[in-house]
Amino acid sequence: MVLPLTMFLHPPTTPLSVKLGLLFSGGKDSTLAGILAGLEHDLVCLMAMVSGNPDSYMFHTPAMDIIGAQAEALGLPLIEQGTIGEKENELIDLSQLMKRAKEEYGIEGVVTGAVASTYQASRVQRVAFENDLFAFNPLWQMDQLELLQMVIDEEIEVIISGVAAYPLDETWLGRTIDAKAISDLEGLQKQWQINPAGEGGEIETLVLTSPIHTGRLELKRFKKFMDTENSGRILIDEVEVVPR
Amino acid sequence: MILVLDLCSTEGNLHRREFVKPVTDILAREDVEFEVKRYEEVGEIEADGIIICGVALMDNGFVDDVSKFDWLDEVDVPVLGICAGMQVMLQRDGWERIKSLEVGKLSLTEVPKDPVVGLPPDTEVYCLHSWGMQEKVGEWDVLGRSVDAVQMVKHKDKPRWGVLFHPEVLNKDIIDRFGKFCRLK
Repeated sequence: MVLPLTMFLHPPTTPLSVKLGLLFSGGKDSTLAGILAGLEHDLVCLMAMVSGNPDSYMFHTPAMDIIGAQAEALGLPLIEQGTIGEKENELIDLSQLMKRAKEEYGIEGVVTGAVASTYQASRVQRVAFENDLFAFNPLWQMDQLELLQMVIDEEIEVIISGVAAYPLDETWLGRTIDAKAISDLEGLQKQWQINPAGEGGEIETLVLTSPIHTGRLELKRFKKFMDTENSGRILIDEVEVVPR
Repeated sequence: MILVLDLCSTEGNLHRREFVKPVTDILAREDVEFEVKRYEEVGEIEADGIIICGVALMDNGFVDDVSKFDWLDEVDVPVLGICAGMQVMLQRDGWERIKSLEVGKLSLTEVPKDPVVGLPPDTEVYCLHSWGMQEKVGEWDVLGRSVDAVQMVKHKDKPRWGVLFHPEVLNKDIIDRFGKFCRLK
């Protein structure tokens, strides 16, 4: 008998609740990881690396400028740690971020939205271990289409905020991830080997609201900026947090 | 049917999603039937094979519970132990745990030819452990190593394998092959 996915959603025993900090980028993966973590544990803060390097090896950079608004919409305190975004310095800064979250909020572990990158995941694992923190990666090794479906099932409202692969173009920017978008991404996966959930950096996403948010982001003024025909992002000039 | 054992001492689903679900996803993709149980709740075993899954870096709860694996002495079906799962089986043969922090991708210095856990030369594996095992002459042969640790073992008499690395992350075909091996038995 193959058991359904729901067996992973409903714990068989009452878990011990621990205080967790969510490594947060504002995108679908960290938000979904936060929702799953919040079902069993106490999410006490958001932790964000603010990288000065747009090609950071470790941290997702587009739309980071509105992360404060996202924290407000989630109703959670935010700790931001700047980093110049060079390979190994990023780890020192990440360690600093974890130390601050431990001191300020007493976290016992971190949650990440890591899915497939052993590079990212192993570095977070190592830094968490050095800081005596559990690392939880509830999306680890998930099938990308299953992950996108879960984003919809969990009622996360999310738009595509960046694209960086052929044949994705300007028309994808601002598009909501819904059943039609998943079906289109699945088509691109078959034809062009695009990772449908953007695991290879093909798309970046921005969460507007979800059931764990107390507010919703309204993008008042924004523009689409394309570096090339198949690489670009949304630049947000004004955002407002409104009640959900 | 493959019995998949969850050794995470952090109860609930958060680590189960990370250390058990990737294993059962591979079995499900190959249409191999499975059942997940926590290691304290094994009960009567009617499975064709058993996979004992790994745990998080900071999670050592299973170490004090090695006696809860007494059923291993009674079963004849194939067993694959992953990371903590390998450590439990070797602890029962008197091997000692030793500190050994390996996190991330690494290359093995020795790889075996084996129908279940065999790998091509120069294969990279994904490790996530802070403890390894001190090698000891006993019921198990060492099949593979990294610079710092015993990475792969096989029981001398029984269809049992242990890998310290995580095949559910890299080298998923090991889990495929184990599922097929159990089905043929």
